[in-house]
Amino acid sequence: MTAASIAGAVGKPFRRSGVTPASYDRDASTFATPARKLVLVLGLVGVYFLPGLLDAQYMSIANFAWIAIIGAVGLNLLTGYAGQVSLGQAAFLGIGAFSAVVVLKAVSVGLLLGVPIGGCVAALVGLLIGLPSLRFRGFYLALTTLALNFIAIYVLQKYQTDQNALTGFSLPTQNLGPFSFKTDHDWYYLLAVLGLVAILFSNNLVHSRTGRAWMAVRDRDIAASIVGVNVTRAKLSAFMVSSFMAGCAGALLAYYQGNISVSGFNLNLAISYVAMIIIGGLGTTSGAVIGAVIISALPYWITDLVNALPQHLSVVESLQNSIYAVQSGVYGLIIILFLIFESRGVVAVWLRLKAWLLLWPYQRRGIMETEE
Amino acid sequence: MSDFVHATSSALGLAPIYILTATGFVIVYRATQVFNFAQGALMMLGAYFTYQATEKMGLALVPAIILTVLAMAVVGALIYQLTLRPLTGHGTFGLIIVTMGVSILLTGIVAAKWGFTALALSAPEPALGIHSGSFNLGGFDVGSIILTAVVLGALAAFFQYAPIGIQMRATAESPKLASQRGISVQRIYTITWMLAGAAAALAGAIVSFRTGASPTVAAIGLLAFPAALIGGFDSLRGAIVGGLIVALAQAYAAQIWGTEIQEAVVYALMLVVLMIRPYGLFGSPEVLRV
Repeated sequence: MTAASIAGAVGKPFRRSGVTPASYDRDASTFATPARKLVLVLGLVGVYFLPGLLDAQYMSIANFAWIAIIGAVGLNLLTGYAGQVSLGQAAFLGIGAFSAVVVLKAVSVGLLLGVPIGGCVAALVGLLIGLPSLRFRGFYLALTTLALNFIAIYVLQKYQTDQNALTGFSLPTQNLGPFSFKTDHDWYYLLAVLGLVAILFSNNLVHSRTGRAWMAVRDRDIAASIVGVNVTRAKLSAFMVSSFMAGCAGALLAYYQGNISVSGFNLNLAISYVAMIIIGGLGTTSGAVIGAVIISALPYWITDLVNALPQHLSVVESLQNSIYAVQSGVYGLIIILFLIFESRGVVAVWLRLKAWLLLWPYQRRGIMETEE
Repeated sequence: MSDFVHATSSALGLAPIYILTATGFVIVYRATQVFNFAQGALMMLGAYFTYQATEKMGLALVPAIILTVLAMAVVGALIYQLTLRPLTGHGTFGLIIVTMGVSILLTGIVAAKWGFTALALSAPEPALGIHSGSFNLGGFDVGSIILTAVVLGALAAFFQYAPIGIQMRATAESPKLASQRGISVQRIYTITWMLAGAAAALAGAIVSFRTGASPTVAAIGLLAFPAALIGGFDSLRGAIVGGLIVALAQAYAAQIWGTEIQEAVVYALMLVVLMIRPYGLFGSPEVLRV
């Protein structure tokens, strides 16, 4: 699955010679080559058997990672493909989550209605937040989304206070037809299916007319408008699709956690989503997936790593005592190091490796760079 | 009426923090076109340095502030040399994200060294307070207003008359031409970040005397974004006016509608300014070439 979108990596429809698509349909197809079909099958098998390999704690991390994948793939469509910087992803998650709460209170139907409605409400707000993007770009747009983020959070906070739910809302166990979602294991397959749908959706979308319009707007919006791309439509649709996915992710998060409070949807969450798509590789669906997994699991990996160090050292003990500080520090450091040494993210490491292998044994530094 | 006088006095107490932090943004933005998300975290580090200097090293108020400013100038230079200099030539987005990374890293370092609990300072309040009716301005507040005024005056004079200040303006105007006239651009950028660190140190010192040092200090710094934007991102004068406007808006909103809404009001105000004058009250309009 992950390698499927390598062709879309760094935004270029690059394919090695010998894999020349003879028809337009083939060019737009998601799994065009045997290698990609193999990756798809292996990926699906891996996803299916993963729960057998994970302990209870990592099962819950895997579920959170699937939810993060939906949100990160959505943000990547907006920032990576359409080129619109957004710091508002936390607000969209919050809007989705709170819509889910409202739906549950109003009609006492959970997942089946709550997730799509959460997505739609977020998409409508996304349309509103997208309006400034018609006028601003870059940092000014980031600040606008940040401002709207704070305003949205205030509205959610107000709702929470008015409902006398000071510590947040509790949600009951969810049912979907004959299935009841009680344990992490129950949730895993639902979230995995939805996550895979999100990945497939993103992959198909960027090969479509809409996706090409987004990339044109990202690369140069004035030039795009001259060749006939409707820039307004492209920007607004990117905001809507991205916030729809974030809203769905937020609603799922609410039902999965069974408890939701506005305090979780802060700026740090928004930054962590930006970090996911940067670390994974901006402008690639596979990058967003990898980044979501890394950022979701990072705090636990760090804890495990610290606990695995020799316990008699005094430095290990002090690390354990301030484990949250260590997590935050390593997280910040990873963002910085990735930007300095590989700003195209984890995906670019794979691309380099691929170039190196293709040229073996004649690889030279200069040649590897021209591959891009 | 007395409520508004009270709100005004509390806004005047807050304003120096926003003004100094917004000044830090403006200095960095004007010179390097980097939007420094780490300014709030730098301010937090400044607050903890002040705590360390007064409580642990037992320094008096003034030497503690001077030591903090010097230490933070070094931190600012280090941040530039270690994170932003290697990224020269990268897009704006990457530079914003790297300052976010610095912000998270600093939060981690501070939490590792000083923990998550708020640390109070026990420095005696200088006898400068103004109290008349419902107008209440504490000794620290008056002190910080005086300090901010002196520092900003000195900064304005520095940019206007000092050789390095003039070189900084020249570099901001055109790094290429400046370097051809023999100005070391890297050196100028380093000094820029030292100044930003020093501004963060002063803001942090003021916060720590007002409310103590705590990780939440970084969040206060975030409100300096609207301050800098309302004033204009490339204008020092704008930072002063913007900081005042944000502090007043926040205090009045809290007075009228309650404390919960104050941040939302400030950001809403910022959106209004963005819609009408995207370059802020004192900023220079951005010219876009096709």
